[in-house]
Amino acid sequence: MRTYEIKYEPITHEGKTIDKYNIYYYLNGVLESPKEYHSKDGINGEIRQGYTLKTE
Amino acid sequence: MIRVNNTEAFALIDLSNVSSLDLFKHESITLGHLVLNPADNQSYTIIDRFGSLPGTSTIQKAFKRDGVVVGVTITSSVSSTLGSNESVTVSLSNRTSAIDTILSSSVRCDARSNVYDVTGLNIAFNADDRYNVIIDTPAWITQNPQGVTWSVVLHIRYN
Repeated sequence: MRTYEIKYEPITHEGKTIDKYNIYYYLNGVLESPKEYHSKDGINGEIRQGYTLKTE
Repeated sequence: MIRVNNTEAFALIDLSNVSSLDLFKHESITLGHLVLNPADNQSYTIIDRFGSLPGTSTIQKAFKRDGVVVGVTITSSVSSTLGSNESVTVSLSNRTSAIDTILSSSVRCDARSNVYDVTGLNIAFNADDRYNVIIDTPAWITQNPQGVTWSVVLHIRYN
């Protein structure tokens, strides 16, 4: 089963917070590869085809 | 075909004991991966799996013979959003000897294609040494690139 989750992981640069959302892809619950960048707002980013939202 | 005194004859040469690897001294190996949207401060490991996402350091290849990496060609391709001008670092990691060699620390993802030729290398390896290429990303301050493919061609001279 292929799933994903999006996490808010801002960075700080010169004292300023920069919004970043990263996406994690899982294969049968195991992280498939290092995380990828998703978007600045957590909404308007790419999600690979065939992955569904991870639920607890 | 051999011609001797105007007589034609075919010579049969037995190559059964000659490895195909013995027939050349140089090889170029291309490493790459499936397109991705790189995150900040990550290590993406690539080998020659163009249909797969970059993995962790556990994915490895093995050198066939003793030799030397004499140069590399690194290509950074961006099919979607261009990144800001921070650079990624590309390293060749010999997992057997635990020696990492930085190939370039100035690879950018701020254009559709950026190509970097690195010459004058002398990275020795032994047959069966395990290796991979590691791409360490920066924190992109303004914009992360999206739709990125990195490829690394290792130019090898065998001993």
